[in-house]
Amino acid sequence: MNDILFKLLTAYGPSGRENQVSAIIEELVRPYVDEIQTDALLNLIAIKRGTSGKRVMLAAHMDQIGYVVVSADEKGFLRVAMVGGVPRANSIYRQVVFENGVCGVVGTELQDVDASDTALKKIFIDIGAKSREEALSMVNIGDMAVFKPSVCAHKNRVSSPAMDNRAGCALIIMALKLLTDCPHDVYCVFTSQEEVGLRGATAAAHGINPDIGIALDVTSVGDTPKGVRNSAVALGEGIAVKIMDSSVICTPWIVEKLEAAAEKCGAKHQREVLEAGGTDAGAIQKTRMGVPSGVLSIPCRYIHSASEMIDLDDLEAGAKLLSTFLADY
Amino acid sequence: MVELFEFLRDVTAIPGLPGMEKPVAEFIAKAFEPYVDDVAIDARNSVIATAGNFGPRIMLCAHLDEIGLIVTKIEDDGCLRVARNGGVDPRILPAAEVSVITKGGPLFGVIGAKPPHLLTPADVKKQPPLHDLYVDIGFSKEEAQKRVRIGDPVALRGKITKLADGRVASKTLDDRACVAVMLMCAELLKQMNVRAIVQFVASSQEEIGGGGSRTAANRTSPDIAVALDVAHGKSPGTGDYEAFPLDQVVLTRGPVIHPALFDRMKKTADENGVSCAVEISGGLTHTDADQIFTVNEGIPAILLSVPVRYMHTTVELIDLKTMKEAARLLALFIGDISREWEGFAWC
Amino acid sequence: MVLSELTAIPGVSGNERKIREKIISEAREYAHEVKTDKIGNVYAYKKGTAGSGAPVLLCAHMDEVGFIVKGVRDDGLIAYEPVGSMSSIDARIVVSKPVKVGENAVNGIIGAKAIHLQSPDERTQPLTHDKLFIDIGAKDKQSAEKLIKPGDFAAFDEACEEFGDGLVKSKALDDRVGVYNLLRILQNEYPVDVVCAFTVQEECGLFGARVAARQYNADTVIVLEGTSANDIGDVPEHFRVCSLNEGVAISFMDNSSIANVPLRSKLISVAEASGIRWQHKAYVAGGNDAGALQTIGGARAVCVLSVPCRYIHSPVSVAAFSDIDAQFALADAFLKSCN
Repeated sequence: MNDILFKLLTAYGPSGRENQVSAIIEELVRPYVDEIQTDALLNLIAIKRGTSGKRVMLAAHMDQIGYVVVSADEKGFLRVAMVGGVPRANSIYRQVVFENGVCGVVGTELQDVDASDTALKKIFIDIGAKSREEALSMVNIGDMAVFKPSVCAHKNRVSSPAMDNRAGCALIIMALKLLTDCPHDVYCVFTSQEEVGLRGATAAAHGINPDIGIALDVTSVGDTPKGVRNSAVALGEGIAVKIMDSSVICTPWIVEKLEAAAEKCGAKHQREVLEAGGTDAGAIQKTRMGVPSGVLSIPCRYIHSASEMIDLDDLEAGAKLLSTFLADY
Repeated sequence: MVELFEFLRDVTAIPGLPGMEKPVAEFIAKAFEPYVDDVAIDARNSVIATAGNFGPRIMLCAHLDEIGLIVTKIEDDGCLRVARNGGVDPRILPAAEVSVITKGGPLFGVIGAKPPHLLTPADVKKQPPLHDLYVDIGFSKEEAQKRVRIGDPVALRGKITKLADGRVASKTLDDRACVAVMLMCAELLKQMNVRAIVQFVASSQEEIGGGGSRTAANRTSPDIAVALDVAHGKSPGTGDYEAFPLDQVVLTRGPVIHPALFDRMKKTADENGVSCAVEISGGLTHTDADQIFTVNEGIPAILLSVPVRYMHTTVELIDLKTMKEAARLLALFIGDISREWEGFAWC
Repeated sequence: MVLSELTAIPGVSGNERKIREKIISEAREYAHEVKTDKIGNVYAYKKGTAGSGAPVLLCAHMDEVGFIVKGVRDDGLIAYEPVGSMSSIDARIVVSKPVKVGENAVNGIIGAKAIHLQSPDERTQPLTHDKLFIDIGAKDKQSAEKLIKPGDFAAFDEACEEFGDGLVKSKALDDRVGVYNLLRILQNEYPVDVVCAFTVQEECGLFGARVAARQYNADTVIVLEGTSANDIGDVPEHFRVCSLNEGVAISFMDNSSIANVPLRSKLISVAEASGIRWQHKAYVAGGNDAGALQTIGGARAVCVLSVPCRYIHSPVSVAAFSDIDAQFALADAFLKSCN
């Protein structure tokens, strides 16, 4: 099992509260970089200095989806709102955990179990408290809960909450490990608040003003039993080079270079078009006078559930491709 | 000399889907060369053609990208599944002709439609959703896979047709008709002696809200901007205040638009016999004006539109005379405002 | 200067000139520098007593929700749309309300068919903006066009009134309460440099804030807003958002921003230490200028302080003076604690 990935998957870090996962990433990435910075939005920026004067920005978001406590009722149940896109169907009866370790269960009224009804107001979190006072002595209004960590290995595949996007963060670190020779300044930005609107990346890209940007994220697949009409992406078919999603049309020459790098190092790869869903590249490309940008996507089943699944070979192919790309750019 | 019909015919035929505009950007850049001092294509495929060295920096902006489709999958029977890149009206797709732009060149394709003999009454009542449609390029799966990749753009095909009364129907008049207006304006300005730095920008990714105009404005830092786009032309089913006669140039008013610039342009129109309609937009105009006006310290912006019927289809319909009037108004406006620039009354 | 002076001045998004002029004239008395930018935002800069440095940015938007004239019908009635988007103003609350149209503040009303003439179906169907018109009493199009024209803005015409137990009813409490408090802030001295930014077109989509974000090198941003209070009328507790007379509402998150944790914690401790009444904005909804100010041109720490307002985005929004004062007191105490 990929050690880096495991450490990242079990770290707490919903949008806006990325401190814990940021500390873990910092520890993992430190041996490979020259400088580490953070900013007011909690972006973690790890810089490997080069000599060419060119700046490459890599972006992988460290935040995960979750729930934020809005109020506690008199019986001790917590009312919540979404942090990022948490489908209600994926929430019911899940175990969740808060930053301070308090655990809860996402409950719903028996008559409201119709999972097609997406109103989050029909769920609540049960932390075992019996009154409002007790509940608010255990957690505060504004505290956030995430799916309880639970990593499961299935031969060469792994399922877990927060694969979106700890897999992308792992990819960057794995690529840095493989990287021998890169003449450029590589800004590895572990971004915050992607799930609520690419906020960290928007701010970071402006500050860095890179020459090119590559985002690393997961993407959905069309390879379940019935399949999806408009997706040819599949687990185990390699790292995906993104062409388009709803936030970005990847810069064509970057796509070409990524595919050339894949051919060069023999990394298995596939192409990806995503109809709904965005990534940090959407923010990077629109920065200042425009930044040529691309995305490498790790194919992932069951995105935004507690059991997001990837194939470790795809992840490794991605790390190989990225390091080759960086050395050649 | 800008030959309007020929230019429209050529520029609308070149593929240039959002984010993939390079071919049409190169064509447009070349077209501007005779009339400007400098032409560049920026990192996002926006064309920036600049004329003049002194005076106020005036950005004109028309978008060069067109709506289209993109290949998402190659099926076992060799047909291609597609997604939209930009707001294609799915109702125009059954039985449409397309061009799949592959690495090896364009491939002709047809979007399948069930023959009428096989349609049930239930079929006819609803629109096939996009996911049920497919592109038939006439190859088996193996042959298709050799030629087509996932992510290849699929452009709509449609020939340009001359109609009565100086009207023309074509695809992609949204917004290459306004690129043509800018070109005609560049030609007019070359004869005039204006003291202005005019930045003709053919912007990218407008159809998907990608803001090629914003990144271009970050580069050119204009003092004012005129966005050029198409407005809806009156046709059956259009409402009172949302569609306009084909023979009128349209000026927009609203929060995104600077009132002093609107007044100045309206005055130019009235003084020079340009027939204008006024469109009210209470919020976003859904054009490049939205992207440009909050750049830097704020860029005072206006929106000038030419009406087009049947927008986002392959038979968009426009009046060539109105396009020429728009170019004339634009050139006169640039002359007027550059003359008045020093003491221009902004409040 | 009192709140009612500010709420009375028209300033619909995109037409803020009159309220802007008032803000500039008030700010000039106390600020070291007052500037405007090209989109119409006003910035009042106050140097700190402890020497200069990166300023703290405080922000309130000067625009209010309202209408724009789309066209005039042959019968003299006026077609309109709400500024911003169709959903900025609930069409169901505009029926039977008076408005002021255009630069000359022509009187108008938004009427609808009398109940006697409605079918049973019609009585239960809510009206939408496209079926409603502003009636200025003109007998035909020609007569109407002597008084107003397409593109004119219209604001609710509702006088400010104090009522109940320390409550005030007015149009535009969102966000003239913030503007009012920023102008009061300018009257005081603080150890740090302070920029009070009065933005335009917030209600259209944070347009002014998008520009304001890049004008100063502020690391810390506090937005003063008016927010929905849904606290009376048989509302389940978890939908109330916040309540009148319970203090300034401090946000942890809304649809456009997540509050910076250390900044929010500091605001809460300052409130506790100074005995200022505060509450959570206990709901995640709505957006405001913080959304633009936290990311555009760089990362900034932001937090939003709101005055609870019942019936927001209507001509009869209601707030409590104690909450308005609490918002001012907290901003004031926070700035005094900065160094």
